[in-house]
Amino acid sequence: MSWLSEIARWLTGGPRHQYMTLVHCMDHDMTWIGVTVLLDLTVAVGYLVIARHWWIQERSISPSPERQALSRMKSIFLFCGLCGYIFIPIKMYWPAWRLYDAFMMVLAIQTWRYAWDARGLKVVYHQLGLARTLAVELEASKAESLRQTRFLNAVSHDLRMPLNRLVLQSELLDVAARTGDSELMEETIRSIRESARATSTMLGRFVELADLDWSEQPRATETFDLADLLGGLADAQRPAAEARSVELTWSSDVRQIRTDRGKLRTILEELLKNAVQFTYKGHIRVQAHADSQALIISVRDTGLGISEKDLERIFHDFFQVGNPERDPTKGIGLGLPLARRTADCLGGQIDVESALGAGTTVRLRIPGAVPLRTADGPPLDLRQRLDAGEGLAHLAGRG
Amino acid sequence: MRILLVEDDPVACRTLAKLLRYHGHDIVEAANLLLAFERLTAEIEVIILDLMLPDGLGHSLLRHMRDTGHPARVIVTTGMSSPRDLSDVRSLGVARILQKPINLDELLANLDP
Repeated sequence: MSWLSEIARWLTGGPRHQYMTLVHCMDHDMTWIGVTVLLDLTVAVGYLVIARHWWIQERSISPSPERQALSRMKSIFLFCGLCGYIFIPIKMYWPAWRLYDAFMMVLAIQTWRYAWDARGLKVVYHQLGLARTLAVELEASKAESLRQTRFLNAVSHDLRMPLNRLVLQSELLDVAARTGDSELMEETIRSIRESARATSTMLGRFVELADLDWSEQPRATETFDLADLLGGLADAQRPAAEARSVELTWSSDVRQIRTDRGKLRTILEELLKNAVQFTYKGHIRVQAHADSQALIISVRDTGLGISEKDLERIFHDFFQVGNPERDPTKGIGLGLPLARRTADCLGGQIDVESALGAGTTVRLRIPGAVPLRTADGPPLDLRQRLDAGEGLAHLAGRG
Repeated sequence: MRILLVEDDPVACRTLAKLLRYHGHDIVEAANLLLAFERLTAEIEVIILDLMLPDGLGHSLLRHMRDTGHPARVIVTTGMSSPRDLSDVRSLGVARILQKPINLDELLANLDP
Protein backbone atom coordinates (compact mmCIF):
# COMPACT_ATOMS: atom_id res chain seq x y z
CA MET A 1 0.00 0.00 0.00
CA SER A 2 2.99 2.29 -0.02
CA TRP A 3 2.20 3.53 -3.54
CA LEU A 4 -1.26 4.59 -2.35
CA SER A 5 0.12 6.61 0.52
CA GLU A 6 2.66 8.06 -1.87
CA ILE A 7 -0.16 9.23 -4.17
CA ALA A 8 -2.07 10.62 -1.20
CA ARG A 9 0.97 12.54 -0.07
CA TRP A 10 1.51 13.84 -3.59
CA LEU A 11 -2.06 15.02 -3.83
CA THR A 12 -2.26 16.58 -0.40
CA GLY A 13 1.22 18.02 -0.12
CA GLY A 14 2.59 15.53 2.35
CA PRO A 15 3.57 16.09 5.96
CA ARG A 16 6.42 18.40 5.15
CA HIS A 17 4.81 20.00 2.16
CA GLN A 18 7.47 18.61 -0.02
CA TYR A 19 5.17 18.25 -3.08
CA MET A 20 3.49 21.65 -3.13
CA THR A 21 3.53 25.00 -1.47
CA LEU A 22 0.76 25.31 1.09
CA VAL A 23 -0.68 28.79 0.83
CA HIS A 24 -3.73 29.51 2.83
CA CYS A 25 -5.30 32.49 4.45
CA MET A 26 -6.32 31.03 7.76
CA ASP A 27 -3.83 33.12 9.63
CA HIS A 28 -5.71 36.38 9.37
CA ASP A 29 -9.25 37.85 9.20
CA MET A 30 -10.66 34.82 10.98
CA THR A 31 -14.05 36.42 11.62
CA TRP A 32 -14.93 36.86 7.94
CA ILE A 33 -13.44 33.54 7.00
CA GLY A 34 -15.64 31.95 9.67
CA VAL A 35 -18.70 33.74 8.27
CA THR A 36 -17.84 32.49 4.75
CA VAL A 37 -17.46 28.91 5.92
CA LEU A 38 -20.72 29.12 7.88
CA LEU A 39 -22.63 30.53 4.90
CA ASP A 40 -21.16 27.91 2.58
CA LEU A 41 -22.25 25.13 4.86
CA THR A 42 -25.70 26.69 5.27
CA VAL A 43 -26.15 26.69 1.49
CA ALA A 44 -24.89 23.10 1.29
CA VAL A 45 -27.47 21.99 3.88
CA GLY A 46 -30.13 23.83 1.89
CA TYR A 47 -29.06 21.84 -1.16
CA LEU A 48 -29.42 18.63 0.82
CA VAL A 49 -32.93 19.54 1.95
CA ILE A 50 -33.95 20.38 -1.65
CA ALA A 51 -32.50 17.08 -2.83
CA ARG A 52 -34.39 15.22 -0.10
CA HIS A 53 -37.74 16.72 -1.17
CA TRP A 54 -36.88 15.99 -4.76
CA TRP A 55 -36.13 12.38 -3.86
CA ILE A 56 -39.39 11.99 -1.91
CA GLN A 57 -41.43 13.38 -4.80
CA GLU A 58 -39.57 11.22 -7.26
CA ARG A 59 -40.59 8.08 -5.37
CA SER A 60 -44.27 9.04 -5.66
CA ILE A 61 -44.39 8.32 -9.40
CA SER A 62 -43.74 5.05 -11.16
CA PRO A 63 -40.57 4.63 -13.24
CA SER A 64 -40.78 6.44 -16.55
CA PRO A 65 -38.50 8.30 -18.97
CA GLU A 66 -39.58 11.59 -17.37
CA ARG A 67 -38.73 10.37 -13.89
CA GLN A 68 -35.37 9.16 -15.12
CA ALA A 69 -34.60 12.50 -16.76
CA LEU A 70 -35.53 14.41 -13.63
CA SER A 71 -33.57 12.01 -11.49
CA ARG A 72 -30.42 12.74 -13.51
CA MET A 73 -31.02 16.44 -13.03
CA LYS A 74 -31.33 15.86 -9.31
CA SER A 75 -27.97 14.10 -9.26
CA ILE A 76 -26.33 16.99 -11.13
CA PHE A 77 -27.90 19.47 -8.80
CA LEU A 78 -26.80 17.63 -5.69
CA PHE A 79 -23.34 16.81 -6.97
CA CYS A 80 -22.50 20.30 -8.13
CA GLY A 81 -24.10 22.00 -5.15
CA LEU A 82 -22.46 19.90 -2.50
CA CYS A 83 -19.10 19.78 -4.19
CA GLY A 84 -19.03 23.51 -4.71
CA TYR A 85 -20.11 24.55 -1.26
CA ILE A 86 -18.33 21.89 0.76
CA PHE A 87 -15.00 22.08 -1.03
CA ILE A 88 -14.74 25.86 -0.90
CA PRO A 89 -14.34 25.93 2.89
CA ILE A 90 -12.14 22.81 2.86
CA LYS A 91 -9.96 24.43 0.25
CA MET A 92 -9.64 27.52 2.41
CA TYR A 93 -8.43 25.52 5.37
CA TRP A 94 -6.52 22.91 3.46
CA PRO A 95 -5.37 24.20 0.12
CA ALA A 96 -4.31 20.88 -1.32
CA TRP A 97 -4.45 22.11 -4.89
CA ARG A 98 -3.56 18.87 -6.56
CA LEU A 99 -6.28 17.03 -4.69
CA TYR A 100 -8.65 19.86 -5.56
CA ASP A 101 -7.73 19.68 -9.22
CA ALA A 102 -8.20 15.91 -9.24
CA PHE A 103 -11.61 16.44 -7.75
CA MET A 104 -12.41 19.21 -10.22
CA MET A 105 -11.51 16.88 -13.04
CA VAL A 106 -14.09 14.37 -11.82
CA LEU A 107 -16.60 17.20 -11.38
CA ALA A 108 -15.95 18.46 -14.92
CA ILE A 109 -16.38 14.98 -16.40
CA GLN A 110 -19.58 14.39 -14.43
CA THR A 111 -20.98 17.82 -15.30
CA TRP A 112 -20.42 17.27 -19.01
CA ARG A 113 -21.92 13.81 -18.77
CA TYR A 114 -24.99 15.33 -17.18
CA ALA A 115 -24.98 18.15 -19.71
CA TRP A 116 -25.21 15.49 -22.40
CA ASP A 117 -28.00 13.76 -20.49
CA ALA A 118 -29.87 17.05 -20.12
CA ARG A 119 -31.22 16.39 -23.59
CA GLY A 120 -33.55 14.00 -21.77
CA LEU A 121 -35.30 17.02 -20.26
CA LYS A 122 -37.23 17.42 -23.48
CA VAL A 123 -39.21 14.33 -22.42
CA VAL A 124 -40.20 16.13 -19.25
CA TYR A 125 -41.17 19.31 -21.02
CA HIS A 126 -43.06 17.36 -23.65
CA GLN A 127 -45.01 15.63 -20.88
CA LEU A 128 -45.61 18.95 -19.14
CA GLY A 129 -46.96 20.41 -22.36
CA LEU A 130 -49.13 17.36 -22.82
CA ALA A 131 -50.39 17.62 -19.26
CA ARG A 132 -51.24 21.28 -19.80
CA THR A 133 -53.10 20.49 -23.01
CA LEU A 134 -54.95 17.67 -21.27
CA ALA A 135 -55.84 19.95 -18.37
CA VAL A 136 -57.28 22.52 -20.76
CA GLU A 137 -59.18 19.81 -22.62
CA LEU A 138 -60.43 18.38 -19.34
CA GLU A 139 -61.72 21.79 -18.29
CA ALA A 140 -63.45 22.21 -21.64
CA SER A 141 -64.86 18.73 -21.34
CA LYS A 142 -66.15 19.46 -17.82
CA ALA A 143 -67.75 22.69 -19.01
CA GLU A 144 -69.34 20.86 -21.93
CA SER A 145 -70.53 18.10 -19.64
CA LEU A 146 -72.04 20.69 -17.30
CA ARG A 147 -73.71 22.40 -20.22
CA GLN A 148 -75.12 19.10 -21.43
CA THR A 149 -76.37 18.25 -17.95
CA ARG A 150 -78.08 21.63 -17.71
CA PHE A 151 -79.52 21.14 -21.15
CA LEU A 152 -80.85 17.69 -20.24
CA ASN A 153 -82.24 19.01 -16.94
CA ALA A 154 -83.99 21.80 -18.81
CA VAL A 155 -85.26 19.33 -21.40
CA SER A 156 -86.49 17.05 -18.64
CA HIS A 157 -88.18 19.95 -16.85
CA ASP A 158 -89.79 21.36 -19.98
CA LEU A 159 -90.98 17.98 -21.21
CA ARG A 160 -92.70 17.27 -17.93
CA MET A 161 -95.08 20.17 -18.42
CA PRO A 162 -96.79 18.96 -21.62
CA LEU A 163 -96.60 15.38 -20.36
CA ASN A 164 -98.27 16.47 -17.14
CA ARG A 165 -100.99 18.12 -19.20
CA LEU A 166 -101.45 14.99 -21.28
CA VAL A 167 -101.66 12.71 -18.24
CA LEU A 168 -104.19 14.96 -16.49
CA GLN A 169 -106.21 15.48 -19.67
CA SER A 170 -106.38 11.73 -20.27
CA GLU A 171 -107.68 11.34 -16.69
CA LEU A 172 -110.26 14.01 -17.42
CA LEU A 173 -111.20 12.28 -20.67
CA ASP A 174 -111.76 9.13 -18.64
CA VAL A 175 -114.04 11.07 -16.29
CA ALA A 176 -115.90 12.61 -19.25
CA ALA A 177 -116.39 9.16 -20.80
CA ARG A 178 -117.66 7.71 -17.54
CA THR A 179 -120.09 10.56 -16.91
CA GLY A 180 -121.17 10.74 -20.56
CA ASP A 181 -120.31 14.45 -20.72
CA SER A 182 -119.80 14.76 -24.48
CA GLU A 183 -119.00 18.48 -24.32
CA LEU A 184 -116.21 17.88 -21.79
CA MET A 185 -115.04 14.96 -23.88
CA GLU A 186 -114.74 17.07 -27.03
CA GLU A 187 -113.02 19.88 -25.19
CA THR A 188 -110.55 17.48 -23.57
CA ILE A 189 -109.75 15.72 -26.82
CA ARG A 190 -109.04 19.12 -28.37
CA SER A 191 -106.73 19.98 -25.47
CA ILE A 192 -104.98 16.63 -25.71
CA ARG A 193 -104.38 17.19 -29.39
CA GLU A 194 -102.93 20.64 -28.70
CA SER A 195 -100.70 19.35 -25.90
CA ALA A 196 -99.49 16.47 -28.07
CA ARG A 197 -98.66 18.91 -30.85
CA ALA A 198 -96.74 21.16 -28.46
CA THR A 199 -94.86 18.14 -27.11
CA SER A 200 -94.02 16.99 -30.59
CA THR A 201 -92.74 20.44 -31.58
CA MET A 202 -90.71 20.59 -28.40
CA LEU A 203 -89.15 17.19 -29.00
CA GLY A 204 -88.34 18.17 -32.56
CA ARG A 205 -86.58 21.28 -31.28
CA PHE A 206 -84.54 19.31 -28.77
CA VAL A 207 -83.48 16.86 -31.45
CA GLU A 208 -82.55 19.66 -33.88
CA LEU A 209 -80.47 21.44 -31.27
CA ALA A 210 -78.81 18.25 -30.03
CA ASP A 211 -78.07 17.35 -33.62
CA LEU A 212 -76.37 20.70 -34.17
CA ASP A 213 -74.36 20.36 -30.99
CA TRP A 214 -73.32 16.75 -31.06
CA SER A 215 -72.97 15.66 -34.63
CA GLU A 216 -71.06 16.69 -37.68
CA GLN A 217 -72.92 19.19 -39.80
CA PRO A 218 -71.99 18.78 -43.43
CA ARG A 219 -72.97 21.69 -45.62
CA ALA A 220 -75.37 20.83 -48.40
CA THR A 221 -74.43 23.73 -50.63
CA GLU A 222 -76.68 24.38 -53.59
CA THR A 223 -77.66 27.20 -55.89
CA PHE A 224 -81.18 28.47 -55.40
CA ASP A 225 -83.44 31.48 -55.72
CA LEU A 226 -83.32 33.48 -52.49
CA ALA A 227 -86.51 35.31 -53.44
CA ASP A 228 -88.37 31.99 -53.53
CA LEU A 229 -87.12 31.12 -50.08
CA LEU A 230 -87.97 34.52 -48.56
CA GLY A 231 -91.37 34.58 -50.25
CA GLY A 232 -92.22 31.09 -48.98
CA LEU A 233 -91.18 31.89 -45.44
CA ALA A 234 -93.08 35.19 -45.42
CA ASP A 235 -96.21 33.48 -46.76
CA ALA A 236 -96.00 30.87 -44.00
CA GLN A 237 -95.75 33.50 -41.24
CA ARG A 238 -98.11 36.07 -42.74
CA PRO A 239 -101.39 34.63 -41.33
CA ALA A 240 -100.02 34.80 -37.78
CA ALA A 241 -98.78 38.36 -38.39
CA GLU A 242 -102.03 39.50 -40.02
CA ALA A 243 -104.04 38.05 -37.14
CA ARG A 244 -102.42 40.86 -35.12
CA SER A 245 -102.76 43.40 -37.94
CA VAL A 246 -99.00 43.34 -38.45
CA GLU A 247 -97.81 43.86 -42.00
CA LEU A 248 -95.10 41.43 -43.12
CA THR A 249 -93.14 42.35 -46.25
CA TRP A 250 -89.90 41.27 -47.83
CA SER A 251 -87.54 42.47 -50.52
CA SER A 252 -84.29 41.19 -51.94
CA ASP A 253 -81.54 42.67 -54.07
CA VAL A 254 -80.29 39.17 -54.52
CA ARG A 255 -81.79 36.40 -56.64
CA GLN A 256 -79.61 33.38 -57.10
CA ILE A 257 -77.44 32.43 -54.19
CA ARG A 258 -75.16 29.56 -53.40
CA THR A 259 -75.19 28.28 -49.82
CA ASP A 260 -76.86 25.61 -47.65
CA ARG A 261 -80.53 26.20 -48.37
CA GLY A 262 -81.86 24.06 -45.50
CA LYS A 263 -79.76 25.79 -42.88
CA LEU A 264 -80.52 29.26 -44.21
CA ARG A 265 -84.20 28.37 -44.15
CA THR A 266 -83.97 27.21 -40.52
CA ILE A 267 -82.29 30.43 -39.45
CA LEU A 268 -84.71 32.72 -41.27
CA GLU A 269 -87.74 30.75 -40.11
CA GLU A 270 -86.68 31.15 -36.47
CA LEU A 271 -85.96 34.86 -36.90
CA LEU A 272 -89.30 35.44 -38.57
CA LYS A 273 -91.28 33.42 -36.03
CA ASN A 274 -89.61 35.34 -33.27
CA ALA A 275 -90.42 38.67 -34.89
CA VAL A 276 -94.06 37.67 -35.34
CA GLN A 277 -94.34 36.43 -31.78
CA PHE A 278 -93.20 39.71 -30.26
CA THR A 279 -94.77 42.21 -32.66
CA TYR A 280 -98.30 43.33 -31.86
CA LYS A 281 -98.57 46.33 -34.16
CA GLY A 282 -96.82 47.93 -37.10
CA HIS A 283 -94.78 45.86 -39.48
CA ILE A 284 -92.06 43.31 -40.04
CA ARG A 285 -89.67 43.88 -42.95
CA VAL A 286 -87.25 41.33 -44.32
CA GLN A 287 -84.52 42.70 -46.56
CA ALA A 288 -81.72 40.86 -48.31
CA HIS A 289 -78.68 42.32 -50.00
CA ALA A 290 -75.07 41.37 -50.50
CA ASP A 291 -71.72 43.02 -50.41
CA SER A 292 -68.56 41.65 -51.98
CA GLN A 293 -68.05 39.19 -49.16
CA ALA A 294 -71.33 38.15 -47.66
CA LEU A 295 -75.05 37.80 -47.90
CA ILE A 296 -76.84 40.03 -45.41
CA ILE A 297 -80.46 39.51 -44.45
CA SER A 298 -82.12 41.74 -41.90
CA VAL A 299 -85.42 41.20 -40.12
CA ARG A 300 -86.72 44.49 -38.77
CA ASP A 301 -89.84 44.67 -36.61
CA THR A 302 -91.76 47.29 -34.67
CA GLY A 303 -92.42 44.91 -31.81
CA LEU A 304 -91.86 45.01 -28.07
CA GLY A 305 -88.09 45.25 -28.33
CA ILE A 306 -85.54 43.71 -26.02
CA SER A 307 -83.96 45.28 -22.97
CA GLU A 308 -80.19 45.67 -22.97
CA LYS A 309 -79.69 43.06 -20.29
CA ASP A 310 -81.66 40.50 -22.28
CA LEU A 311 -79.91 41.17 -25.58
CA GLU A 312 -77.28 38.44 -25.19
CA ARG A 313 -79.45 36.16 -23.08
CA ILE A 314 -81.97 35.70 -25.87
CA PHE A 315 -79.44 33.34 -27.45
CA HIS A 316 -79.11 31.24 -24.31
CA ASP A 317 -80.84 27.87 -24.33
CA PHE A 318 -84.35 28.01 -22.83
CA PHE A 319 -84.25 31.75 -22.16
CA GLN A 320 -87.61 33.31 -22.90
CA VAL A 321 -88.91 36.83 -22.72
CA GLY A 322 -92.49 37.11 -21.54
CA ASN A 323 -93.18 33.47 -20.71
CA PRO A 324 -92.38 33.10 -17.03
CA GLU A 325 -94.84 30.23 -16.67
CA ARG A 326 -92.95 28.42 -19.48
CA ASP A 327 -96.08 27.58 -21.41
CA PRO A 328 -94.77 25.38 -24.24
CA THR A 329 -97.45 26.65 -26.61
CA LYS A 330 -95.66 30.04 -26.44
CA GLY A 331 -92.35 28.47 -27.39
CA ILE A 332 -89.64 26.94 -25.30
CA GLY A 333 -86.75 29.35 -25.74
CA LEU A 334 -84.76 27.35 -28.25
CA GLY A 335 -85.62 29.19 -31.47
CA LEU A 336 -82.92 31.85 -31.37
CA PRO A 337 -80.24 29.52 -29.94
CA LEU A 338 -81.05 27.18 -32.82
CA ALA A 339 -80.78 30.06 -35.31
CA ARG A 340 -77.42 31.18 -33.91
CA ARG A 341 -75.97 27.66 -33.81
CA THR A 342 -77.14 27.06 -37.39
CA ALA A 343 -75.58 30.36 -38.46
CA ASP A 344 -72.36 29.24 -36.77
CA CYS A 345 -72.46 26.09 -38.91
CA LEU A 346 -72.47 28.32 -41.98
CA GLY A 347 -69.66 30.45 -40.59
CA GLY A 348 -72.12 33.30 -40.25
CA GLN A 349 -73.19 35.56 -37.44
CA ILE A 350 -76.36 37.09 -36.08
CA ASP A 351 -76.39 40.59 -34.59
CA VAL A 352 -79.28 42.17 -32.78
CA GLU A 353 -80.10 45.85 -32.32
CA SER A 354 -83.02 46.59 -30.08
CA ALA A 355 -84.44 48.71 -27.32
CA LEU A 356 -87.55 48.22 -25.24
CA GLY A 357 -90.58 49.60 -27.10
CA ALA A 358 -88.50 50.52 -30.15
CA GLY A 359 -88.62 47.28 -32.09
CA THR A 360 -85.81 44.97 -33.05
CA THR A 361 -83.50 44.51 -36.01
CA VAL A 362 -81.82 41.15 -36.38
CA ARG A 363 -79.08 41.01 -38.97
CA LEU A 364 -77.83 37.74 -40.39
CA ARG A 365 -74.51 37.80 -42.21
CA ILE A 366 -73.24 34.77 -44.07
CA PRO A 367 -69.77 35.14 -45.56
CA GLY A 368 -69.15 33.25 -48.76
CA ALA A 369 -72.84 33.09 -49.67
CA VAL A 370 -72.22 35.47 -52.52
CA PRO A 371 -74.97 36.12 -55.03
CA LEU A 372 -74.70 34.61 -58.49
CA ARG A 373 -77.44 36.86 -59.80
CA THR A 374 -78.88 40.09 -58.46
CA ALA A 375 -82.51 41.11 -58.68
CA ASP A 376 -83.47 42.43 -62.12
CA GLY A 377 -79.93 41.87 -63.28
CA PRO A 378 -78.29 39.39 -65.64
CA PRO A 379 -76.23 36.53 -64.27
CA LEU A 380 -72.93 37.76 -62.95
CA ASP A 381 -70.12 37.23 -65.41
CA LEU A 382 -67.77 34.29 -65.28
CA ARG A 383 -64.99 36.20 -63.54
CA GLN A 384 -67.33 37.34 -60.76
CA ARG A 385 -68.76 33.89 -60.37
CA LEU A 386 -65.34 32.33 -60.10
CA ASP A 387 -64.41 35.00 -57.57
CA ALA A 388 -67.56 34.03 -55.76
CA GLY A 389 -66.11 30.57 -55.29
CA GLU A 390 -68.13 28.73 -57.90
CA GLY A 391 -65.97 26.11 -59.56
CA LEU A 392 -65.60 25.71 -63.33
CA ALA A 393 -67.10 22.21 -63.16
CA HIS A 394 -70.16 23.62 -61.49
CA LEU A 395 -70.51 26.36 -64.07
CA ALA A 396 -70.10 23.85 -66.85
CA GLY A 397 -72.72 21.61 -65.22
CA ARG A 398 -75.22 24.44 -65.14
CA GLY A 399 -74.67 25.04 -68.81
CA MET B 1 -111.86 19.16 1.38
CA ARG B 2 -110.84 22.74 0.57
CA ILE B 3 -107.72 22.72 -1.57
CA LEU B 4 -105.54 25.60 -2.73
CA LEU B 5 -104.13 24.60 -6.10
CA VAL B 6 -101.04 26.66 -6.94
CA GLU B 7 -100.03 25.92 -10.52
CA ASP B 8 -98.76 28.31 -13.19
CA ASP B 9 -99.53 26.12 -16.18
CA PRO B 10 -103.10 27.23 -16.94
CA VAL B 11 -104.05 24.07 -18.81
CA ALA B 12 -102.75 21.72 -16.12
CA CYS B 13 -104.30 23.88 -13.41
CA ARG B 14 -107.71 23.94 -15.07
CA THR B 15 -107.64 20.20 -15.79
CA LEU B 16 -106.48 19.20 -12.32
CA ALA B 17 -109.07 21.50 -10.74
CA LYS B 18 -111.83 19.81 -12.76
CA LEU B 19 -110.59 16.37 -11.74
CA LEU B 20 -110.40 17.27 -8.05
CA ARG B 21 -113.84 18.85 -8.18
CA TYR B 22 -115.12 15.66 -9.77
CA HIS B 23 -113.72 13.82 -6.75
CA GLY B 24 -115.72 16.10 -4.47
CA HIS B 25 -113.18 18.67 -3.40
CA ASP B 26 -113.54 22.41 -3.20
CA ILE B 27 -110.76 24.00 -5.26
CA VAL B 28 -109.24 27.47 -5.04
CA GLU B 29 -106.86 28.17 -7.95
CA ALA B 30 -103.78 30.38 -7.90
CA ALA B 31 -101.56 30.89 -10.95
CA ASN B 32 -98.72 32.59 -9.10
CA LEU B 33 -97.24 33.24 -5.67
CA LEU B 34 -99.02 36.55 -5.16
CA LEU B 35 -102.43 34.95 -5.69
CA ALA B 36 -101.41 32.00 -3.52
CA PHE B 37 -100.59 34.33 -0.61
CA GLU B 38 -103.89 36.15 -1.13
CA ARG B 39 -105.96 32.98 -1.27
CA LEU B 40 -104.29 31.14 1.59
CA THR B 41 -107.10 31.43 4.11
CA ALA B 42 -107.62 29.58 7.34
CA GLU B 43 -110.17 27.29 5.66
CA ILE B 44 -107.58 25.80 3.32
CA GLU B 45 -106.87 22.22 4.38
CA VAL B 46 -104.51 21.09 1.64
CA ILE B 47 -102.20 23.00 -0.68
CA ILE B 48 -101.03 21.48 -3.93
CA LEU B 49 -98.02 23.60 -4.71
CA ASP B 50 -95.94 23.86 -7.86
CA LEU B 51 -92.46 25.05 -6.92
CA MET B 52 -91.47 27.00 -10.02
CA LEU B 53 -93.82 29.94 -10.31
CA PRO B 54 -93.57 32.99 -12.55
CA ASP B 55 -93.04 35.39 -9.65
CA GLY B 56 -90.81 33.21 -7.49
CA LEU B 57 -90.33 29.85 -5.85
CA GLY B 58 -92.96 28.05 -3.80
CA HIS B 59 -90.48 27.97 -0.92
CA SER B 60 -91.52 31.43 0.23
CA LEU B 61 -95.12 30.26 0.68
CA LEU B 62 -93.86 27.28 2.67
CA ARG B 63 -91.79 29.56 4.90
CA HIS B 64 -94.76 31.86 5.39
CA MET B 65 -96.89 28.90 6.45
CA ARG B 66 -94.23 27.69 8.85
CA ASP B 67 -93.84 31.17 10.36
CA THR B 68 -97.59 31.69 10.77
CA GLY B 69 -98.25 28.11 11.88
CA HIS B 70 -100.76 27.44 9.12
CA PRO B 71 -101.90 23.83 9.57
CA ALA B 72 -102.62 22.99 5.91
CA ARG B 73 -101.08 19.83 4.51
CA VAL B 74 -98.77 20.64 1.62
CA ILE B 75 -98.18 18.45 -1.39
CA VAL B 76 -95.50 19.76 -3.69
CA THR B 77 -95.64 19.01 -7.40
CA THR B 78 -92.54 19.71 -9.38
CA GLY B 79 -90.75 19.13 -12.63
CA MET B 80 -87.38 19.43 -10.87
CA SER B 81 -85.71 16.13 -10.29
CA SER B 82 -82.41 16.96 -8.66
CA PRO B 83 -82.37 15.84 -5.01
CA ARG B 84 -80.38 18.99 -4.14
CA ASP B 85 -83.22 21.13 -5.48
CA LEU B 86 -85.72 19.35 -3.28
CA SER B 87 -83.82 18.87 -0.03
CA ASP B 88 -84.62 22.37 1.24
CA VAL B 89 -88.30 21.85 0.44
CA ARG B 90 -88.41 18.70 2.54
CA SER B 91 -87.04 20.63 5.48
CA LEU B 92 -89.95 23.08 5.23
CA GLY B 93 -92.50 20.57 6.41
CA VAL B 94 -93.88 19.28 3.12
CA ALA B 95 -96.10 16.20 3.47
CA ARG B 96 -95.29 14.77 0.07
CA ILE B 97 -93.34 15.65 -3.07
CA LEU B 98 -94.86 14.42 -6.33
CA GLN B 99 -92.93 14.50 -9.57
CA LYS B 100 -94.64 15.70 -12.70
CA PRO B 101 -96.35 14.21 -14.60
CA ILE B 102 -98.69 13.80 -11.66
CA ASN B 103 -100.16 10.41 -10.91
CA LEU B 104 -103.75 11.30 -10.00
CA ASP B 105 -104.35 8.21 -7.83
CA GLU B 106 -101.20 8.98 -5.86
CA LEU B 107 -102.26 12.60 -5.45
CA LEU B 108 -105.76 11.65 -4.26
CA ALA B 109 -104.32 9.11 -1.84
CA ASN B 110 -102.08 11.78 -0.33
CA LEU B 111 -104.78 14.39 0.24
CA ASP B 112 -105.74 12.80 3.54
CA PRO B 113 -103.11 12.59 6.27
